Amino acid sequence: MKKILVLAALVISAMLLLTACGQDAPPAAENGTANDAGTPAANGAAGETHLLVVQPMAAANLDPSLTNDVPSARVFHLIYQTLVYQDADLNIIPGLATEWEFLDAQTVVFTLREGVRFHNGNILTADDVAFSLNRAGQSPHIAAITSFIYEVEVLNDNQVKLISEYPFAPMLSHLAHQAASIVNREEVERVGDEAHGQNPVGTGPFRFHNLVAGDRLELVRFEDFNSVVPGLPEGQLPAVEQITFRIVPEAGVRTIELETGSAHLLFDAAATEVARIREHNDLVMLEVPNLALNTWLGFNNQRAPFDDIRVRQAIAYAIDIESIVDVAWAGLGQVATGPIPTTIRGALEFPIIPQNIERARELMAEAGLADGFSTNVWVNEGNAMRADAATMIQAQLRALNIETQINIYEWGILLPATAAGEHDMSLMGWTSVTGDPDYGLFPVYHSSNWGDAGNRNFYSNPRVDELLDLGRTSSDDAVRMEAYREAQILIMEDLPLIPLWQSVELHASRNNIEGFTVTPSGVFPLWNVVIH
Amino acid sequence: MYKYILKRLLMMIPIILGVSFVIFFMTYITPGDPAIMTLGEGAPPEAIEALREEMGLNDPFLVRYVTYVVNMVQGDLGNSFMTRRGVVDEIMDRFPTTLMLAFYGTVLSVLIGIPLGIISATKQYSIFDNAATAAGLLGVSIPNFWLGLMLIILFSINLGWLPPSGIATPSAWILPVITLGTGSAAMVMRITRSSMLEVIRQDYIRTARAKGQKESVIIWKHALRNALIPVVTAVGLDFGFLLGGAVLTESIYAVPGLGRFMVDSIRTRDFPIIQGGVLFLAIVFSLVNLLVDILYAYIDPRIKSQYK
Repeated sequence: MKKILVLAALVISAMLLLTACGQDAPPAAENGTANDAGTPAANGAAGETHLLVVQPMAAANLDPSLTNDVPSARVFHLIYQTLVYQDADLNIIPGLATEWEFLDAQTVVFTLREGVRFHNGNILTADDVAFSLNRAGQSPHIAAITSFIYEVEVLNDNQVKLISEYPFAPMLSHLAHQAASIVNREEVERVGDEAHGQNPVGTGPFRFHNLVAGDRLELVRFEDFNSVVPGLPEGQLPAVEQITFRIVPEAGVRTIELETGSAHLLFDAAATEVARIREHNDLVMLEVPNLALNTWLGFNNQRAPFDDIRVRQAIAYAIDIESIVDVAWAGLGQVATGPIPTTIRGALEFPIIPQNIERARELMAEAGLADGFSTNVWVNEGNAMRADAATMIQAQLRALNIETQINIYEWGILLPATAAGEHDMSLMGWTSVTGDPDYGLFPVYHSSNWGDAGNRNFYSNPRVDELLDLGRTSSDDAVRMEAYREAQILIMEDLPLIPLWQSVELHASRNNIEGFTVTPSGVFPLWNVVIH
Repeated sequence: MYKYILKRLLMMIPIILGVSFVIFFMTYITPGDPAIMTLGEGAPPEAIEALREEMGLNDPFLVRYVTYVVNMVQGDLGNSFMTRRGVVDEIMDRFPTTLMLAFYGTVLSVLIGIPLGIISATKQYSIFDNAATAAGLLGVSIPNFWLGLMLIILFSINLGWLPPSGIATPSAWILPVITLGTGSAAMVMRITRSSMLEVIRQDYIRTARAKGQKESVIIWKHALRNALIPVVTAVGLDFGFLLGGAVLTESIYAVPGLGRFMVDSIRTRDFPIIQGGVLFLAIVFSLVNLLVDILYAYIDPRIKSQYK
């Protein structure tokens, strides 16, 4: 027995030692004002320069060419810079490029800001820009944003020429996306893609400090930052010296972190937590309409009976859109009023289709379906709000003798199956990440994009195709906006889907935080944050 | 003894190969395209195809499996589809956290469960025994996610003594360890009690008492040692399962452990992580079982003589 006790004592000692060794040293800011992350006491001592953020998911990778998820994009926005930025109204403003000139519909020359420094001390060159964008253009991970890039050539030390695959009017809004961030060629080639994704180098106002996989990511202020980012006066550094992003998967625990002062900001508040945050005296709930037409009731337009517009219209009249949105999404966000969210430039607002059972029955009778039919609606697993909406739709369609089976599948099954057209109806959505109407309309409604590329409703209208092509290729903004106006009207007449819910960005902060601006894109300029 | 250990270690080779084949086959037949999962909705078909090629998903099953095994033998389990990092790095980043959590949870369960089990057995049907039995039942019945949230509300919100989540400081470990340890402690207590009850009725215990041996010596030296075998088995198994990941506890307290990571990987169809993780856990589980068997020999010399 003694031997066992001695053995146990040795093992425990070794484990304790291992634990001690396993803890990462507290992150140190460049000015030496190091603070322990994640504890209320430590946060109190953190002074007012260490910003603590809790969020549900980690950034998948810190190399902008290797991933296109929102948590990563939020970090890219701080570490890297893009040639251009978008302001709060989605207008294009200078970034690493001070000016640009379109030579023709496919060619644009960018003049770069001079003397901009990377985190490793290198100076930004035209070669870095060409390398970054050519690399981005080849990456399948961000193809939806950057595949329009055919080639980027170096013209001289501070000018590059970008040639697109095809005339592409929304080019600048795509280049403002974090996927088109500029990396340091020398660093990427020296360490390789994988290592760069774990220890990135950019020109942004914050630089990478430490990553504890699945737990936290720490950034510190780049003291030699000498570029320009939206909202930060030139030559000025961010007030925050250090940012720690912690991953807290449980929604309730994230709120507790904020309530107890263990965090200053909470990203992606769960809908179930909103009321609690609103009621808390020390917390501020921030709700901003975002770029997502989060949920629509989509029809498989090539499959009977949904290939008959009268059936689609009948279903639109049979359901009570406002009550569905009100109940399923608990009053958050708003009823969607068109084929793209109202936050997108050029979006039209259509009247909400009112519930009218009599009219719905007439349309069903005209379509020869007065006795109804059986159908299904596909929903992704893990989205309780969509599941609730599907249940309400199921109940309301019984008024037309339509028996609806709700198929709840995880994304891994749902995405390929809906791309293959195996569904009758689906509750899905689309985020127009660039803020340009092209991104909201072309993938979802153009017939060349049936399936995986975004048109999972298998909608086709040659005139809409023409208009979307025109909007994509015309360099005249007025022509573009007119094309998109007409396209939206035609789409709502055809009703390939019924827009249901336009979502909101849901984030929260403690009331001692100033300058935390929630943008529709869900990517935040944290360099403007001040902690009081 | 050493020969036995060597034999057991060699036996792990077919186990690893078997597990690798089963998990590889299961991920192969699992619906869901990792390329689509990685790129999300609206990815251009050519990008999906390019990524499938990059991920090696277009090769036939056997080619992929043989390549996997050849790389595995060289210590290369591939790269995560989501993070692009090496699977071994990803696992080894998280396993120490899971190991610590499982170890401390197990230590707590033993420290609580064995003394309570002994006292319950030696004072059978007393108030203490009944109270301990009720507490044990409660411990087994309370779900971890509920207990976890209650502990956070009490110690983090109301008292403000401990951080609600994370592992940044030693104090942050207290709540997850209590959550994990109390459930296991109830199980250890029940097994210790029943095993002790059986042993203290044996003739040799009666003989020891007849010889005038002190009760504490009888219990701690003669009875406990003989009662420990089923307890060690249960604790070993429990420890092995905890190494597989205490998913709920890890999620509630935001502990970046292997269990939570594996579940996330299943959701995103990150096949290399799933395959590597299961393989790794199979090896760890086999090693834990071997350690338990070795521990038997130290507890009971009769068993040691059987290890050849």
